[in-house]
Amino acid sequence: MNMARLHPVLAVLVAANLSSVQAASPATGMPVIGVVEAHGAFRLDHATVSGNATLFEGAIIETAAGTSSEELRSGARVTLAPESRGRFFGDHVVLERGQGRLDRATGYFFEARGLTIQPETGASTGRITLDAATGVQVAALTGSLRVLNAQRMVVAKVLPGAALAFSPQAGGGATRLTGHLVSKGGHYLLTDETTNVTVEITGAGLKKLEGQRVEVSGYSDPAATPVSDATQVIRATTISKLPGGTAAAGAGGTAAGGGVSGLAISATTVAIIGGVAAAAVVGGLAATGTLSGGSTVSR
Amino acid sequence: MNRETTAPATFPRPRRVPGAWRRACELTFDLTLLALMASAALGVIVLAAAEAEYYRDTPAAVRAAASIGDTRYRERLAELVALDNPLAANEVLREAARSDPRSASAWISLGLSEERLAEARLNVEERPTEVRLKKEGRLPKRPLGEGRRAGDFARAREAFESAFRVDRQYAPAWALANFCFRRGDQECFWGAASRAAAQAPALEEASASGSPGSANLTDLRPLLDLASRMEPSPAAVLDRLGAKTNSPFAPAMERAYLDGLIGQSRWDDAMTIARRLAMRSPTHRDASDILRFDDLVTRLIAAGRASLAVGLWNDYSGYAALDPERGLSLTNGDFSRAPRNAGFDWRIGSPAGDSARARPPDGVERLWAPSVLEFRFAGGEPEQAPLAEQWLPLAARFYRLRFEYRTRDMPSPTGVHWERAAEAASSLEPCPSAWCSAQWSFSAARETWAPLRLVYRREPATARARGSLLLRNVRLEAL
Repeated sequence: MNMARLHPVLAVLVAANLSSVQAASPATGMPVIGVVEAHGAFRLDHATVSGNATLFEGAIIETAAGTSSEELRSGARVTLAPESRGRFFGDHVVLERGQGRLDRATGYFFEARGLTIQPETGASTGRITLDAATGVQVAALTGSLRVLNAQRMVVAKVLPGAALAFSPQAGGGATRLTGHLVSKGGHYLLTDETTNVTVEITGAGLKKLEGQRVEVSGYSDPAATPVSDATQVIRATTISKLPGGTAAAGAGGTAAGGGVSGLAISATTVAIIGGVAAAAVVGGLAATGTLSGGSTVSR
Repeated sequence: MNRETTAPATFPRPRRVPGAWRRACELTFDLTLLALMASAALGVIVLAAAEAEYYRDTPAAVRAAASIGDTRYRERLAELVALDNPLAANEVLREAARSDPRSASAWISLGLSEERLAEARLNVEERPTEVRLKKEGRLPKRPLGEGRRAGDFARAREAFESAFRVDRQYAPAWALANFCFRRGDQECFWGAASRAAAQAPALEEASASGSPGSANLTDLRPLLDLASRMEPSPAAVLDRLGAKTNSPFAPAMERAYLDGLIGQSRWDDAMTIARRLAMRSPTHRDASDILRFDDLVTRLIAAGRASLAVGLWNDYSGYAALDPERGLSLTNGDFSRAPRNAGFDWRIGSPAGDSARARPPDGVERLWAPSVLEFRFAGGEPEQAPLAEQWLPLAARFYRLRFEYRTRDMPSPTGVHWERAAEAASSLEPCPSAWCSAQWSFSAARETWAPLRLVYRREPATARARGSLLLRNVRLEAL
């Protein structure tokens, strides 16, 4: 193959699940999952390493003053910011401290404090930051990212250019969402303005609020099957009408609450879904951290 | 004596340089100097401008900086463009290596880049097919595209080997060893890994300080870990890394390896290395070795591998060798040494000697003096408190435990007694006026490992003990 032809192909690298053909170390059979590179020293499985090293399944990388770049055999690239720590596997990384960035991520995902952050497409690029307490910030740099809770329920879709902060809540059933209530095939759907998650709402008095911007409080019903555009069914206990006009006619699962409008309103809007509270990060991407585009320089 | 008179020597007067010629020379000199200074100033300005561009850290800025040819700028440019255009990044790195072939860093960066490209090509073209064929159960014996794949990775290898040639220090050897590992090339791996071992920064620093034993062992672990993934035999790993000789660094390598193996709970391998280290002459040991061995033996016992631990204990502990078949099962029964709280020695729950004077959590002070162990009760101890224990390797037979004790202000009965496995002796009676001899018999139905324990348990209808009990001359007889 001509090398020049390789470039466009690289952009769509690694759609396949490749873990089954990963190379393994001769003696232990432990799969090699990639290579870690850094300027200067970093910690690999609690030992100091300089420059580069081979990554094995379950390896723990800790950075100090500089960043490190992990090139996974699946084609994904993870960059750890200074003062960060992650445990790496063939198909995901568990962020344990600091901040990480994910590029070329088809089939690869982050785990952070019980949340799973996965790209919607291979072109998605994201930045995940653990705050000092229990929160997780997720910023979608290019493409969008899905955030799932520990029960693998989608709790947010972070659109390109947006950043959301998440905090797991005690008592996972309670839900509070804000958006326009729209009817579709006899079902009522609401796309939350903060999390961009579309849910089906059940309860009394929904018809008279159709098309209105509302705040819904209620409980998730895991036994119910939602309609195709929704991820779950919420049994509403209270619904209050909010200022903000009616939704455009025919708006469906992707109605109100795009990334930009979400950012604009959400400094005061906290959504709770799937046991996770979510709010837009004031200042958006600029407020979410320090990792620039793929930087591996420490100076 | 004739004296000849000579006219005073006269020197030819220098020819006078014509004024115009002289001025021309001076002018030329001044102009040359000026040109040189301007050139130097320009160079400084260019360098400063390049540095400023470099620190802006955008692809365009770093590209501008890289145009002056500095390898560092080119490497950074390659990093910045690698995500969007890995081929362009690779070309930048090739140029960097070509323009500065003495830079190991440039070659290593190129090697990593070439390897990434080869991996990417593999992912796109061949792995999906391999996955499909594997699922269908008809994966060919020879990997797909083997010849071309080898060619792709050959460029990476060439770059890593160039770094290895131009710089004989640790980093290029480490990078090449990792690459060869990933390619499964044993010969290449051991060649690079052994040089990396010889050049390990930790050992070099220790050598400079004149104390090889003080090496920072964690720096050696990644190399040893990599090597042990290539070679299952721990002894062979050390041998192939060059630690088989009497090099002063061999013990440091062994310590690092042992720490790593203990951390991975690889007990059999850890034992191999520990015994190798323990067999070295005392001049090759350091103070940390005993603690390291104690830790290993204690962990082995906790992991149910006590039989494995006895050999090592006998090698290093300094006590009479344990041999349950010959009835030698008790260690330090005369309390001639302070209990180590580890291995097969007594464990008394807190450091022995004066340092134990701090109030222990269970309220029972434990004091050691040569030949005697003392337990002081202040009335605040729990209903039951283990006072001392020792793991005994026993053969299947009857045993008699003999000992001497003395008490001060202890209740009757004292509540102090021996236990082993499910058997328990009766509580000791107070013995305030002189040393009392006592004994307890028990049996081991089969070869077994269980701790012998001296325990306090408050007897019914007695107050908590406020007094002390001294213990000495503990002996175990096989019957």
